[in-house]
Amino acid sequence: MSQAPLGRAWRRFLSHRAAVASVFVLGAIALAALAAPVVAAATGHDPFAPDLFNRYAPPSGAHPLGTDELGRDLVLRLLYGARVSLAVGIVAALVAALIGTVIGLAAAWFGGLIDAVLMRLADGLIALPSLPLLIVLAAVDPARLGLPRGAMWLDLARIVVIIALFGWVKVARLARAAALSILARDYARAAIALGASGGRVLWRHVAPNLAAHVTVASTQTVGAVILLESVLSFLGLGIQPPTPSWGNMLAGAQELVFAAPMAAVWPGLLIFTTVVATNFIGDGLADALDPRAELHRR
Amino acid sequence: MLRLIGGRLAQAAVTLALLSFATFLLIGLMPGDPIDLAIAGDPRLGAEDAARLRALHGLDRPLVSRYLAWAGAAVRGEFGFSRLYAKPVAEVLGEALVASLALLLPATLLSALIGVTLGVLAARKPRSGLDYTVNFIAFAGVSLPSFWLGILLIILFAVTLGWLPAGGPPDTPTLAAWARHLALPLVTLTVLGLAAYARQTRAAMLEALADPWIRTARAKGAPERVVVLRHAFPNAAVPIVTVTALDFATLVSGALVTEAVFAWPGMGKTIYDAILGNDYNLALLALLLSAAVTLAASLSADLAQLAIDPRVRT
Repeated sequence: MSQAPLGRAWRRFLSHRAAVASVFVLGAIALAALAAPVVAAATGHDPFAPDLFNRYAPPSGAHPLGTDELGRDLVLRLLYGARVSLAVGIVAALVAALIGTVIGLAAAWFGGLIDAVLMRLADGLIALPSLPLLIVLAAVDPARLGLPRGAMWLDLARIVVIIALFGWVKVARLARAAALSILARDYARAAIALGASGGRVLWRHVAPNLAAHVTVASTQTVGAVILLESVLSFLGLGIQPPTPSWGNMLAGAQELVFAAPMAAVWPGLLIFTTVVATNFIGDGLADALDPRAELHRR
Repeated sequence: MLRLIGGRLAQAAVTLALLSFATFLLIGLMPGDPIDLAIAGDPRLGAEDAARLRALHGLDRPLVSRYLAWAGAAVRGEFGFSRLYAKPVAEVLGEALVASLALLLPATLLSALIGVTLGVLAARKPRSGLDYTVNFIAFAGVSLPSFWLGILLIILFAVTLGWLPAGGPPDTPTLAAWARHLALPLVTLTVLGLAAYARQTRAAMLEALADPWIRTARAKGAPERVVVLRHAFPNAAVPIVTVTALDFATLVSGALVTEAVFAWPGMGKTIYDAILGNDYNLALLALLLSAAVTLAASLSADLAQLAIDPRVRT
């Protein structure tokens, strides 16, 4: 993309007020998440150490939102949970976008049987309810695949892989459709006629024109991924305590909803805010990067 | 048309067969098999007994041949016994399916009714206050974690007001008890579902209202109600049905989470308990059944489309 269209896209994005506001909201949440260890050091609380004499403490100077079922500071738990939820959301969306792009390009380039098999697979994944399948996947024992059990990074990697296995479909369909239309254009046909290899045609001619579509689609996936992570962690199959994630904090809070109802409000509010913000940004990017979207809206 | 239905049925059968195979393999990768559990429950049994029991139950055979044995029995309608409930799996699932459908069907109907109405109203006056409200509801519904909405409802109606039970199946089988226990999960699932309906309906109606025959209808002086309901809506109905068919899978997933939040004894809770309790026969069939329900819904949406749109019928 040359300078002028980029500038136009930027201006269009800025005119989507909800998207711009969302960038600030999401930025604030991300900064707070990054600063979590600093906050922990400054307040002198440990987000992981139980303090059983201080369970369900009401909000106070020392604990602005009170404490949870094990007496840990809620604000700190929320901030550390943000690190997990945001990291999983962004990484899983990226992995899904990568898988989707590769599958979509392969389907478009090879066509025929490969195309048919890949797209039927995508149809099947969309037609089935994903959550029961995710639950089965999440219950797979890493030890049976020769991996160590219980490591925190493994928890994170596992959930990223599981979500990406289901999240690629949307990007793959988009990438396939876009690649087919680009491959039919003169410049792509000319490159093929001149003897360019498949990899070169896809990398030099198709991929750059695909970038905008894939960016939009993967931004729109981030919100859904954060929701999925929270659902799985809520069901006890995602991120395992004591590592906090917004989903497993909600699970802990629900069991004790009669004792401390507010502990169940905050994590959900953060999930909701984050997902709304990423969805708005996705909307804004779609408007900014797809010139036809504007015509459609009139 | 018969060929189309036959094709879709064949496709659904292949999907289910592939799914059962994939699930069987995954279950093979889960921690502990039934023999491990039996051994752990009885200190007198040793490693030799374990090997003997495995051979007796065929658990020492490779996964593929075990799958073929399962599939052979399944075709004859034998799905094995549930470990947790000590009953035939089909019997356990029958009750769970009824409980799930009691939640899922009214929620689908309600969300379709409310969502489509909101969508039509919003499309009639784009950029009005109502339109923005509906847009916001649709946006929020897509971004709302369903289990959080459920918990908020519990906090409000069960904890603070004390009007409704926080969850669980009804203790007496009266209609009033069912209604009281169903109310909160039903609202949760409906809010979750209606967002997609409202969004799709609004988009489809806006497109339909821009068609030339709408201008013609207005020009000949048809009242607005007739223009919207008689001329625009039937054209908008086709994309609405298509999208809602695709969305049913999402709703089934949403129902599973909602059941978990409200301890509703449906398919979702059964699948969840079965997997955590190493009840593999049950988990496998429950999974296939929820997939089958989804596929059946999407097939009936296709049939509905045939009924609505004469163009597809050729």
